[in-house]
Amino acid sequence: MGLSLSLLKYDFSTEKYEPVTLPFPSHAHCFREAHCLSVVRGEKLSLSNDNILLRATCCRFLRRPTMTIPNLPKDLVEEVLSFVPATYLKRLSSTCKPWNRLIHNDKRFARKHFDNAAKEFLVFMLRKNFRICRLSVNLHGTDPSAEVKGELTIPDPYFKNSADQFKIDKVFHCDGLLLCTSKLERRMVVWNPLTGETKWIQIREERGTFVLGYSQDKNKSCNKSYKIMGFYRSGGQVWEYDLNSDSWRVLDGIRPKWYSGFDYRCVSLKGNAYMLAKDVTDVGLSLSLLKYDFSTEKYVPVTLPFPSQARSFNNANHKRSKAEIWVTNKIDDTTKGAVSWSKVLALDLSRELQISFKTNFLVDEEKKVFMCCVRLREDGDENKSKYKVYIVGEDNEVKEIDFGVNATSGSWPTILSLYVPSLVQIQQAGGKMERGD
Amino acid sequence: MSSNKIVLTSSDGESFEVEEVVARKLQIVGHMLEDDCVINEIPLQNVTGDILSMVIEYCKTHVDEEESEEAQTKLKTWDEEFMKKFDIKTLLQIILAANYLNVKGLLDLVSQTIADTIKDYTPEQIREVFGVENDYTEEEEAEVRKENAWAFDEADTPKP
Repeated sequence: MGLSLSLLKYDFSTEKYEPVTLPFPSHAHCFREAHCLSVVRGEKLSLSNDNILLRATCCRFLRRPTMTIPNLPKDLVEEVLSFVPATYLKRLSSTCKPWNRLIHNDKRFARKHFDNAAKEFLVFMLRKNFRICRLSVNLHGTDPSAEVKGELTIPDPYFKNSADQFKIDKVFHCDGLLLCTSKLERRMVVWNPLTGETKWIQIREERGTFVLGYSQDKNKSCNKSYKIMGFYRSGGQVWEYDLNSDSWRVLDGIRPKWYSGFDYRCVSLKGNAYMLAKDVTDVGLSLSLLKYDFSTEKYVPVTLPFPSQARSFNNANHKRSKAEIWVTNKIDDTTKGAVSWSKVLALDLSRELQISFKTNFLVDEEKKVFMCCVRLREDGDENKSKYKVYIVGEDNEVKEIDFGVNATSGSWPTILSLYVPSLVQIQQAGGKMERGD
Repeated sequence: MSSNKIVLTSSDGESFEVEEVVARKLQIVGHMLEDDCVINEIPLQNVTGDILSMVIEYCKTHVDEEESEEAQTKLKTWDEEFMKKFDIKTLLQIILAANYLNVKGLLDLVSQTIADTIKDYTPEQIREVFGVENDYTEEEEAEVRKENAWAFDEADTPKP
């Protein structure tokens, strides 16, 4: 039946044992450990007997099942969850409704998670069918590989039928948010694929270049204001959209004069946008890297590690295509006046494998391999070209990756180098109810 | 540094004599000492002796945190080894203690360790460990799981 505990009094006058009632249940299924009785643990209580105090000690955990784990208070559960990487955390949303709310709909938690959790790095690619898919990439080992995983679908209020879709033409990534534009539509979307949150924004013309970033109050590290900066094909004005107030405004100054408004290669780093641009000068073409700072609303030139002047960037007569990959981890360090770059790879490729101005890529600095999407010219004919994904190593070995969908027309396939999933919330106009602050 | 000794007593009456600098790593003790510097015995109601001894072991190791990279790496390795000793149940007791005793470094370390442990748990396992009730209907749960499907196969994610 279990165990039973009793307290006995031995009376030296009568030389008899007498049972004394205990203030707690004396029967239990299991007393957990025998030594509990010898260890002083738990609360003290006294039984009065002829003015003498008798102290009996009750082990509190006598009746506790052995597998009991202490329940954490809510704030400690949040503390723990804020250290779980984003994609794993998303899977945990099915634990219970409060967790689902915490993960998908809590700004304060999202910020805490952004600070605490280890960052994950995923590779996304915009395919020619105007959709984004995830690539599973393994650049390590002797046989680097990449494989297409599932496609992501934007929740779109305009297209109820999933066969229709917002035809993504360009994607820009910042803090786990994707800014997707389509040259067919006068709207664009800021989308967090992990939480599924979207914000659709109207634009004036179909074609434009837009980048997403944020300005940050130096004193309040948690307070990022996400903004979109961009310009249209026509007109020299620079526009800025504030996601907090849902409004457009024209910035002071005009956009840098660039040769080809459609070829901008833009990436985001620490909230600022970096753009590579070509310009026509008297002596030929000039290449420049510009940083757009969302806090100061200014363009700042960044030094490039190679000559930025050339007579032409497209010389089809060359038999070989030489490419160099340079990296820097001190792009913000302007104390010495110029950014210091280091060369990680120098490649000598066949002309067909030309890495063009439009190519962007993923590079593994340590393993000296890189992956890119290139346009492969067939028989040197500009009109007959294919898009392929290649992994290229230091030894100039080229490996082709089958990335599914082989549409003849569509958006320029783009590898979104290193997408970092986050729970970051998109500011909605009017402000959502926030907890805590 | 003062080599003053402080006695910390756990809820089950176990006593630990530690250097004042070690005891001050427990911010709850630090605050008490600021209020009145003559205390040399401090009862700690919400932590048992076995858990308190682990917290003290952590604080002793972290008592002088040197800035040098070498010292930091050494500490980090020690932290990892230290955490390996515990099962999930003990980790949850340590996090409660670290929170109560207010040891920031340990709180972060244990949070990170628990997070690493539970990230691969199934929702059922999570519910059991955290004592969370499943308030979804079967349909709702299936729906939520479906929505999260793209995140399921993460084993191949390239790590920095």
